[in-house]
Amino acid sequence: MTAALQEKEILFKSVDARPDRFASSNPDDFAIPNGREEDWRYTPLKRIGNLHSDAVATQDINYEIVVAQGVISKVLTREEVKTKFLATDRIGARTQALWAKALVIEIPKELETKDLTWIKIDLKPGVQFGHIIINAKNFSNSTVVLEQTGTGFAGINCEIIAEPGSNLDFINVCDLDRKGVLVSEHQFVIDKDANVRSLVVQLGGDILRYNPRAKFSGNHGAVELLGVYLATQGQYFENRVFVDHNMKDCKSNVLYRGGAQGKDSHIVWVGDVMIRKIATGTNTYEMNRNLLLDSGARADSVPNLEIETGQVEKAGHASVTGRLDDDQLFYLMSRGIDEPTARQLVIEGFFSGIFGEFTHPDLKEKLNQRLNAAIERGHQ
Amino acid sequence: MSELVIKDLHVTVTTDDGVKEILKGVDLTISSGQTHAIMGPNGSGKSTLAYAVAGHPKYEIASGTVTLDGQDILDMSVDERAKAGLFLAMQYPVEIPGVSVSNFLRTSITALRGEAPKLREWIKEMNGAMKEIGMDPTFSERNVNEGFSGGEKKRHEILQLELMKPKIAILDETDSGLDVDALRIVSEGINRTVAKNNTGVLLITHYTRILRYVKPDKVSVFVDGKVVATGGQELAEELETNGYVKFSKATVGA
Repeated sequence: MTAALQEKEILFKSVDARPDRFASSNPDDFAIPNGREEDWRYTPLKRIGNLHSDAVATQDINYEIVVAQGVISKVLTREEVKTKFLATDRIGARTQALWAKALVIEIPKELETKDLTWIKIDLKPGVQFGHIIINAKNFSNSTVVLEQTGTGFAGINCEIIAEPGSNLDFINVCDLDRKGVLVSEHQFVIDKDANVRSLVVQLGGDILRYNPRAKFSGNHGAVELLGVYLATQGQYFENRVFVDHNMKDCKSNVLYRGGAQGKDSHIVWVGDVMIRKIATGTNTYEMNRNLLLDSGARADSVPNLEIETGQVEKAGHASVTGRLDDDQLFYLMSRGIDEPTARQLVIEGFFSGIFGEFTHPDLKEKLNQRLNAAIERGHQ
Repeated sequence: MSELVIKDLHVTVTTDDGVKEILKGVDLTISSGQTHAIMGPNGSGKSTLAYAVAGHPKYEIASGTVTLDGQDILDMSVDERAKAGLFLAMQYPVEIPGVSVSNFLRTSITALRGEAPKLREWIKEMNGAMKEIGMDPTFSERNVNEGFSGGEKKRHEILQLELMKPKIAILDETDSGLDVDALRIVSEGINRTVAKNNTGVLLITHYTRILRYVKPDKVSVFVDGKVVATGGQELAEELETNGYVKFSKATVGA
């Protein structure tokens, strides 16, 4: 365990993530945001329970874990985990400074399992901070699900380390109660020939802010950052994605599909891809598609691609935001299907391309159930 | 015996240039087992008639009535009209990404019949109907109209017609974009539906080509938002020879 953590220390250098972006584990290195900063311009800071300023933990996080056979999980104190996690904003750094217990999941070398490792965190009223480390060892192949429910105000960071030749599917479900607030920074480090597929599903909560960052620690790594998010009346869901192509011949695919329905529902997606001078042979694509289901909904989408080398294999980005198509609804309704069912079919269809990639039957069913429940909340 | 009765129907659309009247007093009656062809030049309002009767929100009913077996359908929502027994085969069927044909058809049939069909019987019914219209069973796994060729889209419309067994079907330029083989297969599907289910068909077309395969009981000429002449098959033959010029002039003169 210690050896793995030491390796990780090398991976995160003192200046990390987005180019020119400062990173630190010390909250005092970041000014308290006032909402005018680029990073915070969309986030309703008044509703996040002072996570960004001075909220302190009122309780520990309780990690419930069901591990696939062979997978090791431990809950450790700060003294037992020597992480050098560097956050890129004040909430990330405060979370890093304030968590009391971390969950460490290790998928042993060469372990191949189709069983799911399921982490469940049910948040409680009050303020809580957590930290998760998932370490997929060499040539392992497995799936980890992180399911976050409940209420209160929470900051939870996660480090995902994919060692050479490993395959990891990571599904991050955020389905909090109506008043829940969750702010997360996830860092993915992908080593040589490793392959990480990650999916975030944001369906419930008052405010969800997710900040996944991926970088490579070896050549020929591949990462997919996928997202499905559906905000209903008054909900605010934000995703800030960053992929740092800092190694040769790596591949990344960022695909986020968002929906917003009802008055004051607001979805935000900011996607940055950086291809550094050294990262020749990069293959990257990022795409955000949003569906606005009625006139009270709002979507912001900002794709950025920065390329420092001419020798890329492929680099592209796109963003499309559209409204629910009257003609699609008319077509379905003209076949006898009532309007709520027709809307549900169109919305499910819009998201299904992403869910379809994750074929584990238990997982698929659970995701579809949660999505359908979220769609139905829009009809009430 | 069913009857769709359209009386003095006026329909408008709102464009950037203001409100425009497209249908200017349409009178039509379509009865069970009968095929009534509506022929007219482009822009005469034929498709508007189809969409307005089916209830597309873009079209505003200014005045007039449409009843199906005495029931006012203009008061019904789009799905209620379908449940009452009305079907519209669209000229440009809409793509619905992520929704499979089989899921779509099962949802629709469940809504129309008021209960979910038994799975085994339903698959047999669907596959049988697909075979008759010349669609491969793998079609049911594809997304609705997504990536379909023009011919595949039209076959899919006629497949629905056969499965949904409406009282009255409006077929909007179902013949457009079809090659001769596809036209024959689609026409056979229409004829089967009329024979088997006693469906009344309003066949909207620009060309006489389809009328070689689907024999109309009545032919009406539609120009500038209304019916200007009605007759039998011979009217279609006259249009084939002389085109719409005569009828267009008549309207201008009037």
